[in-house]
Amino acid sequence: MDILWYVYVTWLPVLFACCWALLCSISQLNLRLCLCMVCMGLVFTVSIANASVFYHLRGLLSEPSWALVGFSLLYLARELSNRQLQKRTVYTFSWAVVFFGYSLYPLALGLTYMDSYALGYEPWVALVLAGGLLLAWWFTRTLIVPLWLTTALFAYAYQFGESPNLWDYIIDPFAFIVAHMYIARSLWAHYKKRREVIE
Amino acid sequence: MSLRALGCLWVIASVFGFVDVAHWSTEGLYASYQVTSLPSSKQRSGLHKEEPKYLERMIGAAGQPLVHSATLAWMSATKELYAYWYGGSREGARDVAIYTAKYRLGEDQWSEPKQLLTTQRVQVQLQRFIKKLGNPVAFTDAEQRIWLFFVTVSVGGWAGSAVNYMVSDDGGQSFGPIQRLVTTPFLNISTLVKNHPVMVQNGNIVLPVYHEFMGKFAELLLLSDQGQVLTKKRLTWGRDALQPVLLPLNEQEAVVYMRFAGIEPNRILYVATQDAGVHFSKPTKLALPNPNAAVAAVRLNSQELLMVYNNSLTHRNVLSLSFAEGSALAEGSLERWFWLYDFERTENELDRFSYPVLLQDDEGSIHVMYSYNRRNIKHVEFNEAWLRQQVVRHQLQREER
Repeated sequence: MDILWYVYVTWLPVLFACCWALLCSISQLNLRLCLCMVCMGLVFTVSIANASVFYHLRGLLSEPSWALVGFSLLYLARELSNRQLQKRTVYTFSWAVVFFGYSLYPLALGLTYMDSYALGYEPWVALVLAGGLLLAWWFTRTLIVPLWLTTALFAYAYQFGESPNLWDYIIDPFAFIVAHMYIARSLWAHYKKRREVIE
Repeated sequence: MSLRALGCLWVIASVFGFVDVAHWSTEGLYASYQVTSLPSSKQRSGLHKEEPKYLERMIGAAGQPLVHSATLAWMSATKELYAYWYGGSREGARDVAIYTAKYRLGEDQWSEPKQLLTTQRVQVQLQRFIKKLGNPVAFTDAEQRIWLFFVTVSVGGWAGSAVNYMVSDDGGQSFGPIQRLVTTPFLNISTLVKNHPVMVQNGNIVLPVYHEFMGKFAELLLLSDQGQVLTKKRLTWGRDALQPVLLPLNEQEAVVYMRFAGIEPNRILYVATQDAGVHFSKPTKLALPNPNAAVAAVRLNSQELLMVYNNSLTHRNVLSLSFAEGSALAEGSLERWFWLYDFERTENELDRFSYPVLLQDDEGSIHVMYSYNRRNIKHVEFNEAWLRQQVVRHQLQREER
């Protein structure tokens, strides 16, 4: 199956969110939107060392995981709609991403014989693992986490992307970093608020 | 429709997708190894009656200042040997390309090298930036298709490598599209290849790979006959082992030799399995030295094992051949390697005879290929008769001592 459409489906929200964040100093919405489109166009047309900026980005990260797409969509939803997203949604999502990251990355680095990444090639193991987590989160009534995991599962099951490993659809290192940043920011804000109350 | 109902449909669709692909892992890594069919005793006695043969040849560097990391593939249908290596202005430069040359058994010379792959071509096909090319590994499967695995780097040094492959259905004349193997969760970096894969009985391919990012450890990748990663098996962990060589000894037993990158004493590492890859032993050091350099090994049709390695604790100016009785692991014979011959030995410690590759063709000839000071690729061809001669000479010398 040609995976090109999937590359664009995953990359476009991420690129759009990055461009939108870069142009945060522009307050006029329409102007910012236009400039954002221009920036995205440049990503595909400007060439460095005989390769477009997009080729460089793909060299670094083949396809963004659904965690990164999720963060991008949450950011864009907050920025572009008047409806204020519950902070708890992003916070829960960030903790879930961090949980998955810590169960994957240290073992994949070769710290032991156990390789959690290898489990991602085994559909049944992954199904049981993801199913259990999905149920757990389903009952916590947070929509974002089950939506994220089932979308990743769906993309993996139909092999939309380049990777045959479930982990690559769930999480990538950039999403892991973004999740940490969001948690750190939330905790800092919480700490500052408490100090203000005490004072 | 409520969000919850929509969610239910989403989950059901995902599960159906799983059912569709669930057959992937039914056979796993644990299909028995496919070992080369052993020649009959008549054939073997015929081999022993052969005249000893030992030939050395250089392959032209195609005008490149640096050539390195050669690999070999044997096409039994045409009795041709294909060599692939990378060459360019310096290691890791953007002008590094993968070159190939052909050698028909019985002829004196290799064909003129020709450029097969450039970074630009790989970049266009993979639709991503490619900074450099590295280690090619060639392999001929049971259907006489040549698989060419090679390393690409988009970001950073060799620790940023990913493995790619392409397949030729016409005996190396042309190759199909380049495919990328996804093998790690860190932006798919830090997987490299160096030594030949092995085909297992169900047609799957076991590719020995290693990691260099933070940890230095060896793994086996199981690929389907279509080149899709099915699963992988970690052989070591930590920062000690690189460039594994997988040698099946019989349907259940196999041994993996590895370059040692740890703390002294510098010796070749090995792990072994007695259940077709389900479990592997802990890494153990052989008596043979290893100056953190690649080793090559092969199991001969006559069951013995041969290894080509840098016979020094610190430098690569000595390249030697060693021999071991290749019977069952239970006999403990794997550690009884003995030196047979030096392909290269100089006093200059800056000389580098490295990255050997070892292969036995259908006709019984054994081929060794290695980087000769990174300026040339050298090919040594010998037969089992020459090998017996060396074994006898070695035994006589030992008795004299």
